[in-house]
Amino acid sequence: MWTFGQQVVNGLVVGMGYSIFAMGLTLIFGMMRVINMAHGEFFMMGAMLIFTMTAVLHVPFFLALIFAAAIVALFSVIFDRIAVQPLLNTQPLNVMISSMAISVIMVNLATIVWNTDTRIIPTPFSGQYTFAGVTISQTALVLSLIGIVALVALWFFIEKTATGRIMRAVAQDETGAALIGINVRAIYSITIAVSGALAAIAGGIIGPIWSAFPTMGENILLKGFAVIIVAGMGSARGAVLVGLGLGVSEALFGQYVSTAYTSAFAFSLLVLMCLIRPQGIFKNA
Amino acid sequence: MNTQITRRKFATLATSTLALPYLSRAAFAAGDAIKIGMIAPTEGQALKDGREYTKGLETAIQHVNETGGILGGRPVEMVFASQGTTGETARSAALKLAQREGVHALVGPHWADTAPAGLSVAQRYNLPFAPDQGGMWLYDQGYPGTLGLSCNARARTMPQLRWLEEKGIESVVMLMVDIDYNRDVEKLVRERWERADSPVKLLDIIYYPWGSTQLDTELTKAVGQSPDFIWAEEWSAQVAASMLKKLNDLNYSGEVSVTADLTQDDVDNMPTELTEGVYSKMDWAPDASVPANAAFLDLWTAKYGEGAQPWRSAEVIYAQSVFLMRAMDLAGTEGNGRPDGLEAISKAMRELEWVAPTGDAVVLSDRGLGILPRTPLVQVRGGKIEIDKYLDMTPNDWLAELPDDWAKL
Repeated sequence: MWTFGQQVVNGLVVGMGYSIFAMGLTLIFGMMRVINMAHGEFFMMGAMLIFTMTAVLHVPFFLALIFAAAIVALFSVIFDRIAVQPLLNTQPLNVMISSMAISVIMVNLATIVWNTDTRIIPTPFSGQYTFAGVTISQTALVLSLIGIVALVALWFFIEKTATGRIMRAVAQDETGAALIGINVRAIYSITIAVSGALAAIAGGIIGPIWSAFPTMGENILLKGFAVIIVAGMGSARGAVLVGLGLGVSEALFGQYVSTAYTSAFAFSLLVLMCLIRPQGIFKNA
Repeated sequence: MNTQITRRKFATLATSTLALPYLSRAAFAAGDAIKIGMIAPTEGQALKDGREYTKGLETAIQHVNETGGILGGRPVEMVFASQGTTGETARSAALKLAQREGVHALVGPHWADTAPAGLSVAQRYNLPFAPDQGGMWLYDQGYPGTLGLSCNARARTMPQLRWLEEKGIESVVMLMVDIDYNRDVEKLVRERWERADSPVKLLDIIYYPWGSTQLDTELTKAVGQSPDFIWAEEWSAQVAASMLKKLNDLNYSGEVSVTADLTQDDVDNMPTELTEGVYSKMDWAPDASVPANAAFLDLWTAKYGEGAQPWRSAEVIYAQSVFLMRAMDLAGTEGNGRPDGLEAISKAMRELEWVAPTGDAVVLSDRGLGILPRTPLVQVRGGKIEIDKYLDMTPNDWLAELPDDWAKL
C-alpha cells in the first residue's frame, strides 16, 4: 500500500509538470494553430537557467524560477518574431519545421554553454511529511504548489484580465479582432511569451525531480503532445487532467510492470486514444 | 623554364612522398624524448574523465622525469589528441599520433566503444597500448602490447558480492542504468545470489534508461521492498546525487553503494546528510596511509595544489603510465615501432617488479591485464571519501570467460 500511495504522489508531482508544459503547447495551438516543436527546449532552457542561478549564482530558488520564466518568455517573443510570425501566412508545416530548426539550435547552444552533463537543481526544501503512510517530500509538495499557483494564475489571466479577454477574442475570430483594432501580432507575441513562461515553470517543477540536461526537452515534448492529443487539441482543462493522469499511470506502470518502458507505455496510450477517440477525451467530435 | 615532368622527376617525387611518413617517424624515433600519446575525450559528459586521464599521464611523466627519466636519462613527453565520440574519430586521433607525431606508446582511446580503433593502430605501428576500461575483449586479442590495470565488470562485481555476504546483508535491490556493462553485472549477481543456498536474497534488479534520471518511480519501487542494501550501478555522479537525495526524501534507512564515479568534489557539492555512509567500490582510490599512495598524493598536491584530489581515472592512468615507462626502461628500448622492440617491452612488462600506488605489487597476466590482489572500498564519512577497507581479489575475479563452476569460486 505504501508503494502504491507513494507512486501516486510521485506521479501527481510529475503530472503537474506535464500539465503545465502541455498548457503552454495547447495555448499556442489554440490561439495560433501553431505546433511549436521548440517548446521542449523552452522547458530545458528554464531548467538550465534555474540550475545556473541556484547552483552557480546562489540565487534563491523562487527568485530563480521567476527570473527563468521571465527570460524564457522574452526569448519566446524573439523566437516568435524570427521563426513564427514571418511564416504564419504560409503552409502550417513551415512554422513547424522552423520551430524544429530552432529547437536543434537551442540544444546545440545549450550543449556548448552547459555541456551534456546531467545537473542537479538544488532546492532549499528538505524533510518529509507523512500522510496515511505515504511520504511526501517538502520538495515535491512545494513544486506541486508552484504548479497549482501557476495554473490558477493562468486561469485568472485568461479569464479575468483585459488582455486575457482580447486573447480569447483573437482565438475566436482573428479577422474580426483585427477589424475592431486589436493588434493581433502583439497578442500572438503575448501568447507565445506566456507559453514560454509556462514551459520554464514546468522545467522548474520537473528539473529538481529529474535533474537537468540539454536534451531533456525531447522526451517531454512528445509527452506534451500525447497529453494534448489525448485531452483534445486546445482543451486547457483536459490538458491539466490528462497531464496528471499520465504522470500517475506512468508511475504505477513503473511500479507494477517495468520501470524501463514507461515512455513506451505513455505512447501506447496515445496510439490507442488516437484509434478510439481521435478528437480527444475533452473535445466533441 | 622547363616545367615538363619527366619520368625520373615523377619517380623521385613519388618515392619521396611515399617515404616521407617513414622518414619523419624515423627522425622522431631517433630523437631524445620518448613520446607517450594520450588520446582522451574532450567533450560532453566524458570531458571530466578526459581531464583526469590527462592529468594522470602528466603526473606520471613528471614523476619519471624528476627521478631521472628512463633509458639512460632520456626525458618523456606527452602528445595529446582528442578521441572524439566515435570509433572513427578515435582512430584518426591514434593515426595522427602514430604517423605524424611518432609516439612510442598509446594511452587511449579509452572504453570499449573506442578502444578497438586504438588497438588497430597500435597493432599496425607495434606500439604498447594502455587504455582505461577497454572491455574484456581487449585481453582476448592476444596483442603483446596490451596493458590494463583497471577492473573489468567481473573484477568489480565479484569482490562486492563477497563483501556483502560477509557483511551479513540479507536482502539487496539493484538499481542499474541500462548499459551492456550492467547486463554483465546482472549475470554475475543472478548466478551467485539466485542459488538456493545463497545467504543474500536478491529482491529485484531495476533498470532505467541511460540519460533518463526520472528516478522517483524506480527508487520508490526499490525502497518499497525494504532492502538492507541498495546496490546502484548508475555510472554518473550527477545521477548518484539525484538518487541519494530521493532516497533521503523516501526515508530509506538501509545502506547504499554507488559506482566509482563519485568524487570528493561531488560529495562536497551535496549536503552531508545525503552522502553520509554511502559506499563505493573503487579500483583505485587515494589512500595516504599507504606509503606508495602517499608519494603519489604528494606529487599530485604539488602539481595541482593543496586540497586537489585525484579521481580513480587519474590514478589508473598514472599507474599504467608509470608501469609502462618502467617496463620500457627494463627492456632497454622505447620500441621504436619495431616488432622486436614491442616484444622486448611486452616481456619486460611481465617481468617488472613494481609496486602500484595501492601499495601492492602488480602482476601482469599473459593477456596484458594487471592482476591486483585487492581493491579499495570507500565510504563517505563526515563529508569525506575515506577508505573503508580493501577487498581481497582472486585471480578468478579477473577472468573473462566463466568456468562452469565459477559460482563456487
